[in-house]
Amino acid sequence: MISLMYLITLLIMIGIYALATLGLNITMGYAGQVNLGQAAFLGIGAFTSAILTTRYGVSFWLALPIAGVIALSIGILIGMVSIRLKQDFLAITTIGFNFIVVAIFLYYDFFGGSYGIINIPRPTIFGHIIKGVWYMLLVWIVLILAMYFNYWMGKSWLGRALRALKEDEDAAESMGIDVKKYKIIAFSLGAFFAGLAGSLLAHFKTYIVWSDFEFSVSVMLLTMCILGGMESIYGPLVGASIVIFLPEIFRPLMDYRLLMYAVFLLLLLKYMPNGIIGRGSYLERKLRAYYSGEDAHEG
Amino acid sequence: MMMNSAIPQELLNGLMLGGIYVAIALGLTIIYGILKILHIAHAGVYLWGAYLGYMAYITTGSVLVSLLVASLSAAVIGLAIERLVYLPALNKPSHITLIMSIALFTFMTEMAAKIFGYYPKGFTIHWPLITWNIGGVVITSMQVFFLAIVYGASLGVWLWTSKTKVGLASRALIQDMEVAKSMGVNIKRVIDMNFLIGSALAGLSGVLVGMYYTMIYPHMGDVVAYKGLVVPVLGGFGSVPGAIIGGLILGVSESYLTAYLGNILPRDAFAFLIMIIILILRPQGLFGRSE
Repeated sequence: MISLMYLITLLIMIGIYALATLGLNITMGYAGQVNLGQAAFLGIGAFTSAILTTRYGVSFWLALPIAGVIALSIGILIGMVSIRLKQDFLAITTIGFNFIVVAIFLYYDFFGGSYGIINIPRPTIFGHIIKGVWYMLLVWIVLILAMYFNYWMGKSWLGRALRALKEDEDAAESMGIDVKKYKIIAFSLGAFFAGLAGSLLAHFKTYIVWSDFEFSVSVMLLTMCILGGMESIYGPLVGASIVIFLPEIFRPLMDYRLLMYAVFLLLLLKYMPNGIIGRGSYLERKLRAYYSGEDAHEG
Repeated sequence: MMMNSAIPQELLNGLMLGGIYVAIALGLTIIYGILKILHIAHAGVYLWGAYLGYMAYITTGSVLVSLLVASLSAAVIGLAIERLVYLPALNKPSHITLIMSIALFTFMTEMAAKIFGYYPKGFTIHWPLITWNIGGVVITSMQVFFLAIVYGASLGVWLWTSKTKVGLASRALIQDMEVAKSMGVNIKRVIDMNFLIGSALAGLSGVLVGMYYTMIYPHMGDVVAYKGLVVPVLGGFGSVPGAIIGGLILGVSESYLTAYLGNILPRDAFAFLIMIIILILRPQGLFGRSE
């Protein structure tokens, strides 16, 4: 069976990926901007934090926010490109962005090249090293703060503006919403959370390499986002938990893991494209029907 | 001596590479044009064409049979994807169909690995190897064979879209599906034909790439899957001549950039970088019309 130590590792991974997915949920779930390069932002955060702490002696507590801010700045750049593009062109551009970023990680010794960066220090507090359960606590505190931000955002003018953008750009524009500005905000906020998650990943694994941030990781994050349900605060957590726990349950079928993942994803998208919880999901429709006694397909 | 022949030699490399891009992108561009689906799994069709063509070659020993089996089986696989996966998902948002296509591509790659093995298979065909030296440029009979078939087939598709009735109907569909429907175009048949022809071309290029590089492996579609999308972006989605010109531009510029600036970025990154720069300058693509 799964040992306690291993369970803690899984919970840390779920927390980190849920945080990155939460960012994606802002970009895609709220604002409707397709982003297939979220793993690149995760990598930018991870390498920023790893390089700062291993080479420049920066403390983890400073490197973590810097990782978020660097990812956010690059998110602004991608956001500026996005305002000129239509939906599908944006999807291809973000795919390309992921490939380019990973190629740079691989090609330049500054990022450790094919060997990656090793000996990334674990964070310390008052001279004590944070690991195991305590690292899990740290990850989940950051995640819960991010979820709280998401909750606040959903209620605020910002969240409403982003949602208006998703529903109908032209209508949003005519209502006085600066579409360009909010698209850039959507991308940069999404990148910020991925950057934080990347930093937490680097200091947990203590070793990172370009292939940790490949395009397939972006697809995985997107799967978590869709599975959990877009525009839901708890969705990313649900999605990340399922995607990370599921292979553990099917451990005997390890050789067929990717194959089953692909089939699972296909069936999920075919039958539950709105995910498990969140707007328009199966659960939400049933609950709505139960409480209002109306037709489940409305709303 | 090196400097003099390097420039035309790179041009030849670019034409070879461009040929693969053109053959892949023709299917992508017409399928996107009609269904508005980014058909990532097209690279899965390419992969399966290569494997089935390889099986046909080792059983019969005939290059012609191998090419025929590759294109016909790829056409059938493409049609199956259209009927079983894409048509039922047409009303879903585009990011959902995109991820479905990525999942389908992963499925096809993994299936190939499970059935044929994870390791590369040597694929050497009996073909007279003659080498010509034209003004310092070395060209082999294998390259001539490759170029003739890839460009011949691509020009065939171009003629099909511009001269035949179904080809014209598919262009009408790309313009406006509703109007084409009301004009009495049999939409289902036209979509079928496009998947058949686009997929056959992908399978054909898969087996040709296997023959040329003398090996096939389950992940041979990985680069094609995403880089193939760059071509329709350059040439404009839905445009057949655009795909041919876009593929050539990408192949040639990628070869030169890798030869002269290969120490700055790896090959695959150049293709995406070219694409992003072009999209920043012209958001509708190099030859695309703005709406």
